[in-house]
Amino acid sequence: MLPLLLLLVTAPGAPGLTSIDYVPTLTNRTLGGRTTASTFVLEQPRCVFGDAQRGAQIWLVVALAAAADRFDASAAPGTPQLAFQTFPNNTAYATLGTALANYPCPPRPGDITVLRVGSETACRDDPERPSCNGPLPGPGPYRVKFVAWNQSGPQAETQWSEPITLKIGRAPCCRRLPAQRRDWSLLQLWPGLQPSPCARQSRGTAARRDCTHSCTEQSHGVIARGGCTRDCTAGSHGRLHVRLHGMIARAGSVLPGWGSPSGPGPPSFPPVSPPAQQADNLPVMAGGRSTGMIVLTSLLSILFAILLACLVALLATWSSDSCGSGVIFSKPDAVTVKRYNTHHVYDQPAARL
Amino acid sequence: MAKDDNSVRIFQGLLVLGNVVIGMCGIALTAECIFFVSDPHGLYPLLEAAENDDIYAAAWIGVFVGFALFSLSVLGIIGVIKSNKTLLLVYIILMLIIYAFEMASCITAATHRDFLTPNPFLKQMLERYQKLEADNNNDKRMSEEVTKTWNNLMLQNQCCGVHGPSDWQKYASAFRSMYSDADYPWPHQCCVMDARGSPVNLDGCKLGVPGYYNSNGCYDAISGPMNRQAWGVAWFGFAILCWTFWVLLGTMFYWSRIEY
Repeated sequence: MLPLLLLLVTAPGAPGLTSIDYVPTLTNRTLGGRTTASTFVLEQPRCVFGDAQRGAQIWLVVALAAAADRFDASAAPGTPQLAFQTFPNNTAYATLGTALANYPCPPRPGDITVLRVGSETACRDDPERPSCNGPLPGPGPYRVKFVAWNQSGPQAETQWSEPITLKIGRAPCCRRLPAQRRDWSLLQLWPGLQPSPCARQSRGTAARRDCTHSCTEQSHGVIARGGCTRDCTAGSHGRLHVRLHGMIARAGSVLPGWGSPSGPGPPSFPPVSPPAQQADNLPVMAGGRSTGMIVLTSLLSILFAILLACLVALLATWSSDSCGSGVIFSKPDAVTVKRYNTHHVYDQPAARL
Repeated sequence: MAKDDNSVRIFQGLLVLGNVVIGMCGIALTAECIFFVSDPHGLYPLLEAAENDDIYAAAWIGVFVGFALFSLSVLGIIGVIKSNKTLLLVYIILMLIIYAFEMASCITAATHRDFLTPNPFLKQMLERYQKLEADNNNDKRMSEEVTKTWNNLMLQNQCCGVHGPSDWQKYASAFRSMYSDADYPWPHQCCVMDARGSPVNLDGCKLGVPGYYNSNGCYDAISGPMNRQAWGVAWFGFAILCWTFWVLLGTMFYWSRIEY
């Protein structure tokens, strides 16, 4: 055994290690969680390994794209060199080890042939579980490959995948944020933690709907009713920072293992999608006034103005107290005038009162 | 003269009719605004937390204006029938005051309808949903209200986020700082639920398999009722005011022609 291992160590890519011409990819299925901030989903390696690797265990090796070249297959999975807990200080880690029989070829119809990388959170900090399928510590980029190991060492390996980059959540409030890669060791970003790349926004008319400038370090609630200023003041900066680290540590140990056990259960995701770190942020200002509102306001104002004018005119004429002008509307009792017709006027038209 | 008598009666009849219509519209306005104020969709906490709940202020004004219109129309009818100058002057002045209030209500409702775009709601959701730490009691209460409202919204309307579950991935949020991305790529309320209220398949939901999670956004469920409220208050009020304008003009003319 020892000479064999030495042979493998001194001669990487030695004849004992078959190279399989297969490039792992993210799943082809349309899945909402194809890549998230700390997980991605790969296609399972069905019909990739042949009978020669029947007795071996197929492991997934994950490495940072920049360090992929330094990966040495002679280290066995389950050892500290390939432990998840020390990643990325070590070059790579191995996880999701399973027998070849769990990747039947051809796939049964109706099977969802995916592997979710990063689904186990309970063992994230547990050194007793070096093959933990823990969430990835940053956006990457990562490269993966499948390696078949048995008791005598690595038997076969696939090619490295294309670089897989995970999503980065950006702060929702600052406008025109310059494209900036955040420190991915702080996995969860919180607007209060936002370093000052948020440009100072003009206060403008300080409409209370305008939350765009509320998340700069300089804004401290000058806006009269800005509901979003409170969260982003510099005063809360340090406090949030410290608490966040504590929460990450707590979350890793406390959360129950939601992820599926390491095995070909969950579907895998296809290759990397570009990170969400565009500069554009959410403009929160209301758009221009709608036509309906303008029409309504102007018509109502005109009508009200006319009414007020009429009232003023009315009161003015009333106070000047002119009597007898115009027709008089009196009580419903009509005033009747009697006309006395003499016999001279029979042929006159009837009197109309 | 009979002709003048007839025209007087007709004019009075018209004014009475006008006031009857105002009274009925006032009752309808009160009813409509009470309906809106009662917040049947449970969306008020979202606006309150954004400190932009003027649509509700407009509806509250509408409640009282409607009732005042009804009362004043009764006064107007009595004044026209009795041809009493004092009554009618009081009627005119009070009506103008109510007119101004209703105008304010309509314009407020129409103006704040323009606030209803997705981004403010998205920002608020990301900042407040499941936010545990708070600066003060009021802040804590608002975060709880927003959380509760969003949970109800997502469960009842089978939707997720404002634009979709990707909101939780694209943006940093209070939710993200509380719950790890691997276990909760989006809240579990976005999962398709069975009859007992638990996810049908949690793994499928976390992966985002179509059919196991709700991939549509909740913005329509928010903006639909709010738009109806804003436009209902604004345009119905506008219609009432247009009608009232003519009745008031007629009343002023009638008043100017009454002889003591």
